[in-house]
Amino acid sequence: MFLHEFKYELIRVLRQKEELFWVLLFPMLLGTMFHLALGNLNRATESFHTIPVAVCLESDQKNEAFQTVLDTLSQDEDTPLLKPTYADWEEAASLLKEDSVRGIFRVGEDVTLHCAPNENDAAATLALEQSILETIVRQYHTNADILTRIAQTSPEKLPELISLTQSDASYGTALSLTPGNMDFVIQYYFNLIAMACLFTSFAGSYVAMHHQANLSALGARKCVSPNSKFLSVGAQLLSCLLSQFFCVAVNVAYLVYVIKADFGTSLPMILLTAFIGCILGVCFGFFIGSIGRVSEAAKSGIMVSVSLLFCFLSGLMIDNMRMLIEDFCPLINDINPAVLISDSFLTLNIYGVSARYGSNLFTLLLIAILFAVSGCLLIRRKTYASL
Amino acid sequence: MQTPVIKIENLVKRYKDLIAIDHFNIEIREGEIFGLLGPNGSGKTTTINCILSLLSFDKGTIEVFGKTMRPDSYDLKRQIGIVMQNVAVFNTLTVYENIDYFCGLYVKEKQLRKKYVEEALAFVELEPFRKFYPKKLSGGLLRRLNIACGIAHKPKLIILDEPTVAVDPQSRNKILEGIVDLNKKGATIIYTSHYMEEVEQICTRIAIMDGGKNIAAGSADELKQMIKKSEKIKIEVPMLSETHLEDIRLLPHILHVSYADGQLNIQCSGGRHNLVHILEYLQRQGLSFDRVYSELPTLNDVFLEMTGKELRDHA
Repeated sequence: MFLHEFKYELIRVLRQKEELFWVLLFPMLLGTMFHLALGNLNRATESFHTIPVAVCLESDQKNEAFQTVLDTLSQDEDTPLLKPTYADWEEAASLLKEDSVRGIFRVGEDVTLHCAPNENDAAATLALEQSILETIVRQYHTNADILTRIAQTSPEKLPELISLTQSDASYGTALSLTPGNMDFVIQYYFNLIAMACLFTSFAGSYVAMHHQANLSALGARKCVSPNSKFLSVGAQLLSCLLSQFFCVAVNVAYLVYVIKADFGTSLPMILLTAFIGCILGVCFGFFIGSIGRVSEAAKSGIMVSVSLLFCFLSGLMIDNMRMLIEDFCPLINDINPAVLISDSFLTLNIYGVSARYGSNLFTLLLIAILFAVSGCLLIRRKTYASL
Repeated sequence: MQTPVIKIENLVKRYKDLIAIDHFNIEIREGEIFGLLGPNGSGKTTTINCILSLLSFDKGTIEVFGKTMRPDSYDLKRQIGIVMQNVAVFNTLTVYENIDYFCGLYVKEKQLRKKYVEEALAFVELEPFRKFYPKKLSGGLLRRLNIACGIAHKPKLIILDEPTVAVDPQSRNKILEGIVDLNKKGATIIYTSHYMEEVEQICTRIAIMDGGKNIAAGSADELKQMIKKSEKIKIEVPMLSETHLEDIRLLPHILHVSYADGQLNIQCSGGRHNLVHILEYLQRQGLSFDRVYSELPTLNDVFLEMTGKELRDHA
C-alpha cells in the first residue's frame, strides 16, 4: 500500500508540468538571468585592463628614476599596468582629448600628471584608472622624497634603502578569514535555491487537497477506500519530498556546473541544506493545502505569494532588504524560511559547518514539523459536516 | 431472513435550518439494482455520502452488510465500489494507470490486480485507450473510466451516483448495459439518477425521493399502481357530440374525458382493456376515427401525483 501510493505519487509529480515549472525551470531561468546580469557586473569591477598613458619628456631634463618606474610597470608579460606612448606635449594633449590615453605624465626633473575631466558614461572606470595613475605619481614622489632626505642625512644607508624600495617587500601576510566565496553575487544564488525549496510547497499542497473529501472528488474517493489516511499521506509526502529534492538538486547542479557559481563549500553539504529546505517547503504546502475550503487555484496563489514574500524579505530582489529587517524587526529573519535556508548556505560558505549553521537547520526542521503536525490535525477529520 | 446489504432507519441530516434528509428509511437487498430517483437537491447524493460515512448525520442508523458503517470500517469499505457524480481521476496518469491506482487501494496482490484491471478495461471497452491521458478522452469515455476506477476491484456493493450526467446516448446505453451486467455477475447496485427512463429501464426496485423524504418505494409497476391515473388514450375523432362524451365517461375505469380540435383525450384510472372498450363504443355508434395513441403512466406521473410537481422540470 505504502509503495503503491509512493510509486503513483512519484509518477504524478514528475508529470505535473506546472509544478515542474516552478521547482525546476523557473529557478533555472532566474539563475541564468542573474548570471547574465550580475556575472558581467562582477567582471567589469574585478578584471583589470592595461591603462594607456602618454609620456611627455622634457628634452633637457632626464629623469632616470621615473623612467625606471615606467619601464617596470609596463613590462609585465600578461597584463602590464601601463602602456606608455611617448609624445611631445601637443601630440599627448591630442591623444588625451581623443580618449586614447587616460592621462599624461609630464616628466622632467619633477613628474606631473594631467588627466581629462570625467564627463562620459564610463566615468567610474575612468576615475579608477586616473586614481591608479595618481597613486603611481604620489608613490614616486614619496619614495623620491625619502631617498633625497636619507641621502642628505645618512648617505651610507642609501644603497640599502634603494634595494628595499626596489624589492617591493611586504611585511604583512594577507590571511583570508574564510575559504569560502566572498563574492556578493553568490548570495543571489543562495536565495534562488531557497526559493526553489519553498516552491516545493505545490506538491505538498496537492497531497493535502487530495486527501480531503470536502476539497476534491479525488479526496472523496480516497476517503472511501479501505486504507489509513495517514499512511497514504505519509507515502505521498515522502514521494513528493524525494522528487522535489531531485529537482532542486538539478538546480544546484545547473548553478555549479553550467553557471559556474562558486558555492565555496562541499556540494554534499549544500545538498543536505537543500534537502532540509525541501522538507520545509513540502510541509509548508501540506499545511496550506489542509486549511479551509479554498479552491486549488486560490491555494496555489497563496503559496506563490507567500513564497515570494519570504524570498523578497530574504533579499532575493533587493540585496540589503535582509539587513534592513535585521535592524528593525530581527524576529522576521529568525523565522523566515527563505532567510534560514539562504543563511544556512551563506554560513556554510563562510564558516563551514558551524553552530549557526546547525541552529538554522534545527529551526528549519522545527518549523517543518510544526507545519506537518498542524496539517495532520487539519486533515485528520474522517466525516464531514458538508461536502 | 437474509441480512439486507444496506439498512437505513430514520436518517436525518440537517444543514443548519435546512433539512436535507428527513427521517429516511430504506432497505436494500442482495442482488438488487436499487434506484434512488429524485430531482436535483432531493437528497440522493447526501444519502449516499451518509452511507459511505463521508458525511456526519444528525439522527438515525445506517448498516452496511449488517454492520454499522464507520469511517474506519475498512472491512466494509473493501466490499464497496463507488462511482462519484464528479469524475474523480488523475489527469497525469493514463487510463490504465488510473484504474491500476484505484484498484491497488483495495487489491494488494499484483498479479490479481493486473487481471482485474484488464477485466475492468474490457468491461468499459477502453482497451484501445489504455495509454491515453484523461484529458484526451471524450465526456462519455471519461465517465466510463470513472466507472472502471470504481468497480475494478470487484466489489459486492456498487454505488453509482448519477453516472450518466452529460453523457451522449450511445455511451449512456453502454453504461446502463454494463450496470445490468455487473448485477448479473452478483453485485448489488445502488443507482441514483434524476433520469426516470434510466431508473425504470434497469432498476429492480426504486425509491422516489423529494425534499429528503422517501415518498414511495417499490418496483416500477408497483409505483405506477400506487397512483390514480393509469393509461392515457388519445383518439382522433372528427365528429363527436356532448352525448357521446357523456356515454364514454360512463364506461368503466374512465377518470377524465375531454374533446378539442378533433382529438378525444381520455385519462383512465387503472383497469384493463380500456382502449378496447372505447373503440368498441365508437364502432357501435358508427363514428369514424383516425389515429389512436395509448400511453401508459410513467414514473414522472407517479412523481407528479405524489408531489404535485414534475420530475422532468427539475432535471
